[in-house]
Amino acid sequence: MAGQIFTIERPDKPTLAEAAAALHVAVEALDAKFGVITVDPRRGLHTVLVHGEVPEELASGFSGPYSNPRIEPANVQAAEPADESAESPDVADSST
Amino acid sequence: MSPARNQMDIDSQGSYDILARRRRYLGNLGLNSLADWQRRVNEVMADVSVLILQPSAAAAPPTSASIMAATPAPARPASFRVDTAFPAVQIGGGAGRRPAPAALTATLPTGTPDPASFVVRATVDETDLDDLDNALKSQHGEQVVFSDPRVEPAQTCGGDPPVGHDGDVRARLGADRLRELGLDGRGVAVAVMDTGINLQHLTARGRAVRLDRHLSWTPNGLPTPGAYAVGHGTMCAWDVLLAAPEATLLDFALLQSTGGITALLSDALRGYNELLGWMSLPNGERPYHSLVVSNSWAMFQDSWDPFPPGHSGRYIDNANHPFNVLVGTLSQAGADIVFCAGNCGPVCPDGRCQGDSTGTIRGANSSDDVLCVGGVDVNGALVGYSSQGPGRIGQQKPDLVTCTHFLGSESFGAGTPDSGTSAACPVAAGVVAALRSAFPFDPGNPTRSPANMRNYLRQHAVRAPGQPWAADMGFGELSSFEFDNAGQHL
Repeated sequence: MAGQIFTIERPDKPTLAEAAAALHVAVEALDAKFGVITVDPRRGLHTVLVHGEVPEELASGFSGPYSNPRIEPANVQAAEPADESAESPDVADSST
Repeated sequence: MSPARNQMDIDSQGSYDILARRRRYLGNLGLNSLADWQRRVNEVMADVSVLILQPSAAAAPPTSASIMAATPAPARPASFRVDTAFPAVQIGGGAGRRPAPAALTATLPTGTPDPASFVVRATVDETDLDDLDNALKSQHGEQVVFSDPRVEPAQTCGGDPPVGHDGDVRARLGADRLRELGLDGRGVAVAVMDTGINLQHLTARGRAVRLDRHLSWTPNGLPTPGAYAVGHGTMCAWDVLLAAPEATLLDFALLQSTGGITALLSDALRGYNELLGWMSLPNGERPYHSLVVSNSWAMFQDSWDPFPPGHSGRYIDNANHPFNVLVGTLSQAGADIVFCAGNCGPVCPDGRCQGDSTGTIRGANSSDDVLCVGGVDVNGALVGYSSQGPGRIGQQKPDLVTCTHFLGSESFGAGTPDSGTSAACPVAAGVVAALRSAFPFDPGNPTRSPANMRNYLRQHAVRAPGQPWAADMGFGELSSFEFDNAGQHL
């Protein structure tokens, strides 16, 4: 399910539970993997991804819903890729 | 109208007659003012180019005077003009007429052209064409007026074979010059926001690749950076390395969330959040001084956005959508964000565009905080599927064009091109990464900002003289041949 994006404007980043309570939804309705993402720290603007219904009257500081559309790669061929999915060797890996 | 006294008067008289005749031909079209009518007429009627067959017993090229003399006034409309700049072309070389092959008699003139015949070019008002044709046919006893239609070069479309190869791309970009200047992407991270990279495919083809697994990311948490199935993401990784062979890739397989190649915008939000996490760190604490984010993905239809025009929650044309806000935030944090323009160009749009080629640079692809890249082939010709501007958020999008549809990674099979504006985007991202290796982002230096980088690339793009921005080519083709002076600007 795509879900819908809502934003919360407040100086400090809320927890998922705080966001759910403020939206009057169960915390399970918020996508835990998405979590709370700060999109503009200067404005204190944060987002959550909600699955299911949200009350039409949103609490102060909330706005939404925002769309969560599908996106796709921008190549023009639909050919099947060559299958080379074997585990790759560690080569020139600069990670620590 | 007073009688004509000189050539200018003849032209004026002729023009007036043409206008009057067009008006009789078309009727008033329900328009009220003469200016509106003239404008509408010019849209639907025009002079047409025709080829006139001129037999010449003397086997010498006809002149405009001889043609005019051979086309007496009753048959020669006032709009008839011989193109004196077009040399008469001989289309036969001997003498005498030969009968046409019987099978073709019904479709060809009664005889083949006189071997000493010439073809000349002329123009005539479209309303006079039938009269000219009938009069000359009657005069000569055969068809001598032929069409001279417009032709255009065929643009590369999806499904076409590759045009050139990645060596041609490097040559066109001036990649060797980049390396001479020490611009190779060293120390720069390039996040490939895509379907995932297959490192083995790249190394098997001779690429030495730096991949940072620690800072790579997948939406479902599977720790397999660099080990994804070969495909779109592998292609993009290859294409970044054309200009920035020493860049470090970050594998962001965000186009994996639904199990296929479709994902949701919320996945991109999560991926961008990961990047912002370390790009927000102070200078000296960031794992890389510069970050380039390559995005070869798009929305192909307005209908993919569930909200109608004007809705405050819409994405495709709303700078306030949270993802578009986050793009701006990451750009402010110092990331150079590059997006493909999309593949809904007017000549041969991708099937997913469903024939719509207007307003197809949507959402973040058209943000003022990104570099939006369209596609040309290695000869500099716009590919037929490259989306054209204006953008839905930022107007002057695409910003630039660069190469696509070349034989490169062969990620889709042997002989298949790296295609779409999907390939042009990482090619451009690689150029940005190359520049950043010598001119790293510095939060305290405005000339090193992503905004200034975009301005620099636009100003140094190759474009037609006097053409500031165009809907198809943007500010022009990305070129590194003038990067010698980059230090003065970045």
